[in-house]
Amino acid sequence: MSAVTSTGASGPVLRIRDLEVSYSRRGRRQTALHRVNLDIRAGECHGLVGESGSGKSTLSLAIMRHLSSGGQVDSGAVELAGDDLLKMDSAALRDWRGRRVAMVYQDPAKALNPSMRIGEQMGEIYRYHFGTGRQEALTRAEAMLRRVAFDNPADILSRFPHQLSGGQQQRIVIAMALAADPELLILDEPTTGLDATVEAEVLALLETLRAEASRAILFISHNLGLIGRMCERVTVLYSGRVVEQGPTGDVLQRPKHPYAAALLGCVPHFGIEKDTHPLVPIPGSPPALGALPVGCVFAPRCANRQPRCMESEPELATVGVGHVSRCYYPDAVAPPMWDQPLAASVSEKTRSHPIEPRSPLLAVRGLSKAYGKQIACDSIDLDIQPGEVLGLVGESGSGKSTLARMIAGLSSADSGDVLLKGAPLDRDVARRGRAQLRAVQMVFQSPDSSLNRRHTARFILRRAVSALGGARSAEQLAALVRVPPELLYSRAGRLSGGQKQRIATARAFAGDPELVICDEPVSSLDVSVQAAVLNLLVELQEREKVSYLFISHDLAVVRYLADRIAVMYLGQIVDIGPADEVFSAPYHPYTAALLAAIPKLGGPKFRSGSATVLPRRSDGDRMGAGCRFSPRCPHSIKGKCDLVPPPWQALSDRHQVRCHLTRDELIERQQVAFEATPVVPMEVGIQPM
Amino acid sequence: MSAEVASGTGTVLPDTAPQPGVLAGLAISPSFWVGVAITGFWIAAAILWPLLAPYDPFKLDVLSPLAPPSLKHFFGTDELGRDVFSRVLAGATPAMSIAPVATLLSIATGTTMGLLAGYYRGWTDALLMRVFDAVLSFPLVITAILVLTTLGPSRVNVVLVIVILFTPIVARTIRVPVMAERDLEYVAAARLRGESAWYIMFAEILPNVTAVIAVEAAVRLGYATFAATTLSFLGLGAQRPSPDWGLSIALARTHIQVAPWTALFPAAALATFIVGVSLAADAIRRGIEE
Repeated sequence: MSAVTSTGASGPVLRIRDLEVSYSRRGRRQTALHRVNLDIRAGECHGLVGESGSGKSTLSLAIMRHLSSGGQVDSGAVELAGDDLLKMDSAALRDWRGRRVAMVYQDPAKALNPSMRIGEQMGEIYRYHFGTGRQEALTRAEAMLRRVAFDNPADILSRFPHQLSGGQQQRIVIAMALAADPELLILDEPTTGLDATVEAEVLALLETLRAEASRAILFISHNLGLIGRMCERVTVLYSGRVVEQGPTGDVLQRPKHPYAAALLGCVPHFGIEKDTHPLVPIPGSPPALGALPVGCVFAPRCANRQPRCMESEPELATVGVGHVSRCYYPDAVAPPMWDQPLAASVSEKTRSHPIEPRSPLLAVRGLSKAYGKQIACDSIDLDIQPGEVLGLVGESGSGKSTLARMIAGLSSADSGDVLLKGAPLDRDVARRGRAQLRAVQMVFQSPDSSLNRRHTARFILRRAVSALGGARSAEQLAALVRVPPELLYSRAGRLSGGQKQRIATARAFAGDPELVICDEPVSSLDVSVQAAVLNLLVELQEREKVSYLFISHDLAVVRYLADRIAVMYLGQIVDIGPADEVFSAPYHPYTAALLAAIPKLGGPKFRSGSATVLPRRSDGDRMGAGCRFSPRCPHSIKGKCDLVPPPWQALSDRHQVRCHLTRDELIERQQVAFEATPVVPMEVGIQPM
Repeated sequence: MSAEVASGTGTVLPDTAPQPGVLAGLAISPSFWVGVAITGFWIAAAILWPLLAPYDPFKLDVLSPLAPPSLKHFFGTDELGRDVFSRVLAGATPAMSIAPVATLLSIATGTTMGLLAGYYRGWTDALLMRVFDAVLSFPLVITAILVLTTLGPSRVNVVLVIVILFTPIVARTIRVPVMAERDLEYVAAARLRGESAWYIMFAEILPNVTAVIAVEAAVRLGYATFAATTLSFLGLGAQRPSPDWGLSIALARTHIQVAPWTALFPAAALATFIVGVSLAADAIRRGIEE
């Protein structure tokens, strides 16, 4: 916009040259960013990827000059339209922050002041940066809210942040970031932690905004699918170094650095399955800042390591048009897995261990739970076969975790039964016998809180073995999850996230379980660790012949692991069937919406998001007598869907959906709906984590 | 302003090195060392006063009552001619013997109650909290007079009064972190393997709230000393001829205008000890909270 024109269309808006940033730790300086170069042109969206600790956040903080205490820029330049950030005085710096460069963080709830109305918070920006009066500030805030697609801005301005949904909050944070019309917008994981359909709402907004203004955007994400959808160019950071930089399509399709290729290989791309495409985790872990290896920083973890890599660090070398890589052997980098031919087509694949319908291991019958007026689970019926992985997906608040906790006996059901091999399980875990306890175990979401940080790993495993009457020793369990035995003597608080989750998994296997409930077991792990833990879960499941109830909001992870999938919406199962059938046409309308919300690598870059965005869920939706999804459903039939509870429809002999539309009607309607925005689940795509 | 938009959170550094512990933080805190030095001095005095005191604190010298501080008697003498300096040193013993015992017992009972209330919640929590509200609604002095006039003033009964009064306070402090810990998944994991409630409370949750308990113990120690001294001052605790600080201050009241040193030095002793304990307790709390 106006500010950009001053530099002319040709030069970059943001120019980072040889940026060196270090942190002081106990008197020693440790380099966090090493000679980082980065240009972003007007109108360009530049992606920044890397694992935690790679320096992504340090770079964005350095651009804002917000480095935490102990951090300092040692050398290099950060220029915005020719002005050097590092030479600015505090007055220029105030102008820089907010007015010229604005930032949107991951968690909108923390970016908004909970005690101020939206109008006051937004008005502050205009009053501070432009000196406008209170009334004009409000008028301009209202106009800005209209731009970020609020229909009723006056109403929003009078609300407090807690009265808004997560997606609305993030749109307001984006509106605030854009209020001063900054030349550079930094988006730091702007959709991480948002539900898939809410994420789609925010992404749709970002796409329209970037189409209408020619500002520079730095888009930080660990989600390669998002980067592929949003960005023209991408920079891959590892240990504070740029290891690869180039046009997004080139980097994601034909990576020229083994780290970039490895990152792509360890993310479950939508549509791949454990039987055909095992994930390839990156061995080892990133080096500590103070202990960088000699030579290439990635060499210790690189599969293609040569003697030369261990001697001197490679420089960035041109490998294509505007494409550089810090690798001696860029042409030896293997293309990402999904480019390789499938061993068997997904739909006609033959399972390595077919599951014959037997008497179910676990039968859930009419299980219900309400918290006050909020219905968390509404008469759930579910079977899990021996040796089967049942995936359970749904947005937050759909009741997935409540269902899991009721099966485990951690929270007590209001009504209904859980039968293990035909025998009822007590609703309260405290009244279950040892045989029932050992049969049903759980792996939890947060590695930090699922182990007692004061106990050693060995104590945790031994206690589980003795309490459940298992036969294995702590050492054998550690070997089972490939944790080195010397780590058993560390307190759990000292282990890394991946190690903690492995010990937590080993604990669940201490007493030879028959059903392991996995409640988002990988969603708080870094991508490379996630791949390793997922592989471990697959291996253990097959070796120990257990069943999993695998809960995740990540459709790609569930698709990767599950034999059958159940989709929950507002306390009800609305779709259940074999994994490949649930995620292929015809879909239940809600499943289709979830699938459409996944950003995919192959999709068109500037796809208008409107067709894929579901209307927001409002509190009133829940109470309707008819189909709970009907207020948001594109195919809803007035007078029928909103009044009459939908019946179960068989889409095939094993795939059932709860919908008023018949199989033929669904096929017909979804062909129309998906022609505009083709959603082919078999298409290669990446799901946010 | 937009700078506020930008003031959210972001991970700045990977947590490659373990965080410097509480102990490392304490090592560089000067107020911690000042507090430890003062507290240490009084503990030493309580044990070693027979070696340090220039006079027998109980020996009367009727010829020189109420002598002002001099080289012969650093802190002067009291109405019976006893050396105030020696009595102040010896007065550390009753202070140090009642307060720590009362503190330890209050922490033990309070922690148990806090674990029960925080773990079970619901009606257990409601019942315990209402009982504690009732206990706390009585002022210290009323409860003390009630108990000590019924049971008679003695060291054991003073400890009992302090435990009655401090248990609810400790329980309330411990209850809050217990509630937070109870929701963590390691507790769910313990329930899933059939652990008893007592095991979960004492073997799983308790080790994770020890920091809070340690701070509470240090804070309570200061208050327990103050409470014990107050009771002595009121004549409900230590009895003559004990060199107890509170009792000494009470007895010095009658001649405070002619011989202020008789009240001043025991009071200063009490004040420095409490300040020392709270300096150390405060430093520990800051170290844990940071």
